[in-house]
Amino acid sequence: MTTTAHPGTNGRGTTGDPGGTREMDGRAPLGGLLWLVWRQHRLVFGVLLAAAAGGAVWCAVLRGQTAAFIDAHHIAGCSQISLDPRCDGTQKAVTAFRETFGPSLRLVEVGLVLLPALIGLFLGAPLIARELEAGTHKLVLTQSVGPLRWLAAKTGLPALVVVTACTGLSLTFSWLWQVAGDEVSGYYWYSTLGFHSLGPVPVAYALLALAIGVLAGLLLRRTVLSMGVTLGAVVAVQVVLAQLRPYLLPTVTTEFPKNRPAQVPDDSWLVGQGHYTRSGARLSDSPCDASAGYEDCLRQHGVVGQYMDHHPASHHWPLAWIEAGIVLALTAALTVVAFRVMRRRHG
Amino acid sequence: MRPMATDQVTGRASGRTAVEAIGLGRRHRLRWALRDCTFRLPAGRICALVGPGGSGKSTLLSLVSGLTRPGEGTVRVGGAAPATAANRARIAHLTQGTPLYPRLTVAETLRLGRGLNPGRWNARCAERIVREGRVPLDARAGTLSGGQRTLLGLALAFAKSPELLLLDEPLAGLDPLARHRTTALLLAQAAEHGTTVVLSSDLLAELDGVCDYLLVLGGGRVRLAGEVDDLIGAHALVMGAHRDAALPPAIAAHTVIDTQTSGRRFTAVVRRKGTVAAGPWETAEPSLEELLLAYLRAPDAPALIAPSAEPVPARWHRRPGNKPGIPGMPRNGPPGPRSRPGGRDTPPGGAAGTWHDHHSGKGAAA
Repeated sequence: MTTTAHPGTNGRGTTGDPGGTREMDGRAPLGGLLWLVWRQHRLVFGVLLAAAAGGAVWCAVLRGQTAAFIDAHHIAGCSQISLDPRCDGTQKAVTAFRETFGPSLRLVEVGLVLLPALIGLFLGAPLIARELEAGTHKLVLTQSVGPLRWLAAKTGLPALVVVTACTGLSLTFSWLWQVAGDEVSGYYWYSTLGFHSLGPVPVAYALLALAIGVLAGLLLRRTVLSMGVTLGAVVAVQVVLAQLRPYLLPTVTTEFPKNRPAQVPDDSWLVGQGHYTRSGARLSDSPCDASAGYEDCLRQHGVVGQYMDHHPASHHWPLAWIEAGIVLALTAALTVVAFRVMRRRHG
Repeated sequence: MRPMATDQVTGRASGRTAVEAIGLGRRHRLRWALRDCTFRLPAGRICALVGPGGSGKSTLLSLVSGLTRPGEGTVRVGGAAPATAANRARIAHLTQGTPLYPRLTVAETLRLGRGLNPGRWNARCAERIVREGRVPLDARAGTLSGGQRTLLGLALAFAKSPELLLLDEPLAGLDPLARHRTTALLLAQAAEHGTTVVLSSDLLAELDGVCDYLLVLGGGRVRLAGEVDDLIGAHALVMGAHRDAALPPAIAAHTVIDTQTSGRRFTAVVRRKGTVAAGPWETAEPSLEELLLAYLRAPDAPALIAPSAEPVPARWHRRPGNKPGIPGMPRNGPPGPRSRPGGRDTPPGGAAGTWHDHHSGKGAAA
């Protein structure tokens, strides 16, 4: 009867039916799958998108308020203890700024840092694990769609939602950061929270968490167990990459001869410092303690000045893109593994 | 009811093969759920898949539908592996317990079926089943009763317009009325579209009159396979007065599958070697239920594979390395001219088409 394929006239089978369901969309194989995935996870998607939209609006409002405050008190680029003569006498205003806006900024930062782990926990891990646990994957896999197509829809649509939500929030937060970040607020780009919440980094980590959750669910087949493993794995990757972060790009070394104040700009990320000798050798551990005869001691070791290895602010975006690239490569590898597991298991 | 069904299928039941398994096995962790399973199911039949719990029925159905991949051996549906795009569209599989998305409504579940079976979906059929089963369209699947769940699952399976329909315990949890309706639906579907149906069930009495083919599993192996009428005809039910501990020698000369005694009477199901001699006992044809019960009670009884349920030999010559399922059994049809001399298609001990007793190889000391 209606068993023959009519790609163009798929509605044929339903047209003569009295009553019943008659939604006319979602016919193509992928369309049906995408509808199903959306229908299954629309609550999580809705919460995620709403939270991101709310966060973005709040960031925009904060940007307006902080910009007005900074303009009114002329504290742009001033930190609490600044060597810049332009910033003389602004200490009180900067402190007031930090007291007013600091908690709000920190809240958005923390939110963006936790977002990947939350996505992995509540979207990635249950995505496949719950299906395997309840056996509902059999319902889908016994229809006409193949397992790889199902997995593609099952991971592709959430990935799209995650990218949309995280990119939106991260972009507006970076926009806010341009005004309120670094010196004025004292939340520098190189702080763990700051780096994890700016630019491509949160988006990449969110995708990684999603991929970890999917693979954990596929391998472990238990929702709660997958959630635990996902949380652990996401935190582990974040900690390991945070340790590696200073070495992703060569640092800039600035040498300060003796008798000159040794300080890099406030927005530079100081990675290492120590003394250097006349021959150019470095003494990373100071051989002298700060007691009497400190100067003599330094002279004895042939110290002629201090060096500082640091990442200037210009390294921020290259560092962020390199780390995001590493995270995305890891995500791609995990996704490939997930597809291979699926193909081996269900053909 | 059975003759009618048989008449309807014999026209279609040509030499076409719906399912063919050779040396099929699947392991769940360390235990073999199914082992060395070799059989052929001709197209257009309604086949009952029977066996005690844990005998590998669900595993076999999952392997045939491509839901899981075999650990060893091969299974082919319509000549191709089950997990191809074409076969996925052709096979419908209602898995055990009817998994459904609990938060989707009935209408949404049907929409799922339509979306995931483009070009094959028969919405009228699905809606008729759901309507006749009084399943409310706006109820969430999680709130349905067991019978309603099964009906919704059946609606999904039937509306896919499958060529091979695999039903895992579809009658479990249905009330007698729904069960009757379901079997009628099954017969109508098979008659109308020539669908091959494999139906696993523990309700032996319900199978009589529905199925015309039989596949009995036990201990992960095939124990009985063939046309229902042929298998019943190969057995006899003997009832008589109990004289002493043993059966009369004239009956014991046949392969005794199972003996039940109640009071001073015995009832035995025997696999006939020729006709059962007359004596102070009654001989009758066993019903399907009696036959199945006898085999389920006697797990060590020798297996019986009818020639129509034997895989076509040419096919497994083309697949070297596969273990033959049942060694020493006659093959269906004459040996092809391409067969190798001394090949497995000329087994010792018997011309093609005869019935053979043989041991399943698993400690059957009958």
